[in-house]
Amino acid sequence: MKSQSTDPAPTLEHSAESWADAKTLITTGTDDPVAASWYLTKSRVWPFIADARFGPIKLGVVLFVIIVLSILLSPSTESHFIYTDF
Amino acid sequence: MTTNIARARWWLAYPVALALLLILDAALGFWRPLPSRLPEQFSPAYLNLYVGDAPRNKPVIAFLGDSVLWGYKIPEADSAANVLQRRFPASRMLNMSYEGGSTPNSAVLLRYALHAGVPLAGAVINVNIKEFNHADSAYRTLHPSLERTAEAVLTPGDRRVLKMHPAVGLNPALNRFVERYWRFYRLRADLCEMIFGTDDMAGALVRSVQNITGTAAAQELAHRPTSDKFLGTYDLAPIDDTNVGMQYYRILLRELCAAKIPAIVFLTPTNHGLLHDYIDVPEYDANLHALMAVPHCPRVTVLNLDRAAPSATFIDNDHLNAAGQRILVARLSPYLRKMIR
Repeated sequence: MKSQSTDPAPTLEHSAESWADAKTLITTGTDDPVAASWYLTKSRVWPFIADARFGPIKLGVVLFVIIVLSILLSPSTESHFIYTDF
Repeated sequence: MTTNIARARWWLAYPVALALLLILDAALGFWRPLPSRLPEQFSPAYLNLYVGDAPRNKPVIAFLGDSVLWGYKIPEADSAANVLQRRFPASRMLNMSYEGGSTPNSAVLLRYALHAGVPLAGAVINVNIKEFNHADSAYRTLHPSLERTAEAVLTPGDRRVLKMHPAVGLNPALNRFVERYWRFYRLRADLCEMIFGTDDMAGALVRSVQNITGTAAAQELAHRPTSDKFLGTYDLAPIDDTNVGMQYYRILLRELCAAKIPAIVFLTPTNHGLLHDYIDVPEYDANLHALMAVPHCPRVTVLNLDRAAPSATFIDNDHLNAAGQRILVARLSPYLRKMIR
């Protein structure tokens, strides 16, 4: 028969400034941000592209979106010629 | 998962991305923005598109000039060119004016439009006396996009007299190289202008923050035009043939006559109420007379509209509000009617 522990139940204490909320903690099982990011990358992002048939296509689309957005969202290098009188 | 990863042909991602970029480029080839005036910022490629897309099946009247003719701070629909377009629907009023125009800009742009094969049935050109001032930013400078688009029609004389901006250094050279082969990259400034309403997202964000915090309204208030802000805008020294503005004014009239293009050239209305202390002097009128006296052929009509609009129709020293643009329309309409007939 398993003896009953008198210790209080373990809690995942974290400060108010902590990045994690309860849901994330339950999902990732850790309150270490690096470990949680790695876990989410492996469990969510990687399976999205780690597919022998469609993975490379999805990755190609992601690459295309990154290229287009990097051009559209980068600061303008064009010469501003508009002048003001005052 | 490991087996799947091993089997995947990852190199395929590159051709997929490349194919999508090619599709995007091909789609942009069908992009015909056809605005009724040029946007605030435009690339050389956009100017090329805008001029190249001028219709070949109806008379084209080119509007050449500066921000007054472009319609600074007024809705597109209220600019004189747009109102005239509605009044004369059988013709295409091609508003090629932009902020930063001047006689060198108008002369080179006219040459470029003719070189591009635009069948010009006429031209309306504003000549702003303030741009004959050496200190004006457009005095001897072409709009950077015009300078690049019109490279083929620039003469050695243009290159000698005007302040040019050749691509020097690795960065501009690389930019030009990539732009030559990649349409999306070539039109990036125009796409940003279309998406964000300005030339980049940073500018759009700054504008939003300024609107939210009220900074924009405060700046607008601080920039309220008062006469002292235009102290150095008008040069009262006699305008003679050493003046680059005058040299290109002569070239402009000569090229219009040589190409047999009927044209209305007008001296831009100026706010004499605001600028009374500076410009209501004999020297200013002498300069207006000097411009009016430049010889030209009968196809070209030169109008002195310097005092044509009352002070209440100005936004500042020379930019007209909607009522001012209507005055312009009323003064130009009879000549345009004759020109189109």
